[in-house]
Amino acid sequence: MLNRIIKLGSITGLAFLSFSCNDFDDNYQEPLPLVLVPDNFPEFVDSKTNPLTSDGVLLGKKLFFDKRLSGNNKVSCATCHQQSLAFSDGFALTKQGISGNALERNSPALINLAWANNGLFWDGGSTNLESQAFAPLAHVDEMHQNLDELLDELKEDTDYPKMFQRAFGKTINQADIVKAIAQFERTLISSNSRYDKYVRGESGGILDQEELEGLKLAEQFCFSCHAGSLMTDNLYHNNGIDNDFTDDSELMMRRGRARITGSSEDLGKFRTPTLRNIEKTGPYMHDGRLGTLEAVLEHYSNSVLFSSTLDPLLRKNGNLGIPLSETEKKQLIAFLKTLTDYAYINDKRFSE
Amino acid sequence: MKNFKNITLALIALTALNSCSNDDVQAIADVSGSTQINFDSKVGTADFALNTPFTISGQSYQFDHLRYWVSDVKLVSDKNVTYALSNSFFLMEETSDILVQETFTYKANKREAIDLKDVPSGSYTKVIFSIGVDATHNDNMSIQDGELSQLNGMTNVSWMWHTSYIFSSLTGKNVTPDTPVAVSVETGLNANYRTVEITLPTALIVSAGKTAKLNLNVDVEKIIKDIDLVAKPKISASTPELMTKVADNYKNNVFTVKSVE
Repeated sequence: MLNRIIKLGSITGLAFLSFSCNDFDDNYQEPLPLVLVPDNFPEFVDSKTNPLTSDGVLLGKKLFFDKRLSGNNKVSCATCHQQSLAFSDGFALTKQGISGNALERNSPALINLAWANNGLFWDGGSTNLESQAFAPLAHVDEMHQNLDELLDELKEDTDYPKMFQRAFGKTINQADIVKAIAQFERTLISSNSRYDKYVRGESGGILDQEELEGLKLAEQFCFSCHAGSLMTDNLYHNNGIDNDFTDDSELMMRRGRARITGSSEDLGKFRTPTLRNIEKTGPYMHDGRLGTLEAVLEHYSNSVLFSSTLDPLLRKNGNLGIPLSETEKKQLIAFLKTLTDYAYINDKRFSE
Repeated sequence: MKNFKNITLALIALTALNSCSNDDVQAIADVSGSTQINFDSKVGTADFALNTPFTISGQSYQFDHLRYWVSDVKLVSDKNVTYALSNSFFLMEETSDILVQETFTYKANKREAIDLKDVPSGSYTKVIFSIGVDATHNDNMSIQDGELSQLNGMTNVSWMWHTSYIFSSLTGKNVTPDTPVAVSVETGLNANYRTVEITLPTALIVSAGKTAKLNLNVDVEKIIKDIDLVAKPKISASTPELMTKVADNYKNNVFTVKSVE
């Protein structure tokens, strides 16, 4: 797992370090690519308002792991986004925020977010990683950081003032904090599961018979939503885990996507999570109600509930759900486990 | 000797002009004295004031803040030349202390004027401005132009509906019932962004050595025109159709010209 090699020929998209004028000195070195995108992935489209730079990514990484970003200096982004779990946290509804109260939603895994171009959060309540970062930073049950005080805290650090200056040419400010974090997040690319190697015909890319049978089932039943090499369509679906989305509370959390769009057609819809690293990112669903992959398949097989916004693919020929035999469930799970990217969860570039 | 002095002064002036870029020369040549837009808050004909009872639709309200973003201000001249202040965001407000993020206090403040910089001399017959924050800035809170900030309590980072800005906010209480009822009238969806266009009854003359002032009435009563705050004391993301109504009121009914100086 440590001898991951992305051959140069297989790399279609590279974003290089950007240079400020004074980088061109006698110590010039070949630029290192900031992100490596294999050829079974869509093109990497960088942010126009916040393009990647090596200094920005470096700063973002430091901030991501820094507990000073929370009100009590005990919670960092990484608290609920742990690399060993593909940047999820293993809880249904985490209580790791500074209030100790359970959050409203399951902490999503951070995987290939550079392509998450149709909304973040389970209901799409944030349009980009920059804006998104303000929510956990400020939320009373998450990091609850006073954003004014934060500047003073970071200014006291020996490195931050220089790092902000290098990355953004400015003194420390709130906007550049979230920009840096967003840059680091866009470099979190997972593309080296055994299944990827199988798809690319690389060494180590071997699936056994059970896994191949599972792949066939996934192609038949899963890939329409968990689509393409990103294994998500970045869309919102009602997958039948509930059938009553009435919620007149201020937060309207049960409404799902409809709380953002205001459209009744979006009731009970939630963002399709990627299947990548799915073995590591349980418990599952927007509220983490399903603890295991077995429970997830059991839901799709036998427990899909009808409502007017239920995805049509889960109600074919008038039958609810996707009937799966016990053997098929085992085959699917065997396949899903080939999507674990050990290089990703061990990559030193993403570690504290 | 006197002539010599004058020539010297003229030369200095010329040199100063020459040292600027071409753009600057153009600007300096055309630019006038100062130009100001005042937003004077009222309730009907009475002056708006905080924590003071006003009767609206038979109910007595005491407000503790009125806040709204004015952005993308434009003046259009009689020669159809447009002065535009792009990426401009001004937080207009009359507010008591506001607890932001439950951790720090945004101090009570009254702000009703916008100073427009470098308006070219001319006779302006129309003013255009938007209420709210355009989608580009609203969707990406890291693009912080003008007075946009996370620190003024006009953001909604805590998931209420979206990571986005509050476009307008009128809060207080209805003191008519025995137990006063909190009222809150807010907008903030991209669909709530509105552009106001007002033709001036007399031209706003911008010229050298003069302070041009456009005074607008902001009728707080009109913000909630045709809205039943007794039935719905809280207008927010959970009542999107009422937010639309409020946004339309800002566009069509709230702002009128008081005077042009």
